[in-house]
Amino acid sequence: MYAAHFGAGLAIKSRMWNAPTWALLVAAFLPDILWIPLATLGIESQPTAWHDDWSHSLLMVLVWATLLALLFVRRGRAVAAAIWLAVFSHFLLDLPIHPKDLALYPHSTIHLGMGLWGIGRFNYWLVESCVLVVLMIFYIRGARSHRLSVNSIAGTCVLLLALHTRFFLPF
Amino acid sequence: MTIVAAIVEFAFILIPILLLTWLNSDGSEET
Repeated sequence: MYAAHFGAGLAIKSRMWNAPTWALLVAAFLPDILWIPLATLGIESQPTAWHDDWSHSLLMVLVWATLLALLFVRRGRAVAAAIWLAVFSHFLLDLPIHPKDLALYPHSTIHLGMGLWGIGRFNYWLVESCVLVVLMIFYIRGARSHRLSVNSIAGTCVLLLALHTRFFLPF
Repeated sequence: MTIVAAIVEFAFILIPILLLTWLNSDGSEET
């Protein structure tokens, strides 16, 4: 998923307003952020087979979540827990649909997931749309209770929907 | 993955993060 990861970060933000937005969004994307240099170095993605165990496996996501959360402990346990949850949300959102089911740990033969990658591009778009809408509702309700301006909330939702739509366009 | 592809991938993540952070800054957030 793509836009749903931003949605997850913002949904968590709406429940933990003290947590920095940038940190929650980076946390929500951390496995992908780590995957890019690992793939560039040839450690992850391989020419013949999709490989993202070091960035996306359950064990490693737990490790990355804990390490990043530890960096925010000085801001309070609640903020650190929010950061941890944001990282782990990436695993949860990738669980149903991912190019390859998620490994239990690097190079494990056990993989977790629903194997929906083959349902087709449009069906994938629909599934992520449903997830994104739910996360946006969480975000909107939380943002309104914290008196974030309507313009900011609307701008955020438009951007999320634009990112979601753009990601699935063929150009 | 080539360096150029990696930069593009980073941009698709980091630019939205910057925009969403800006949209949700209410002046009270500690940075």
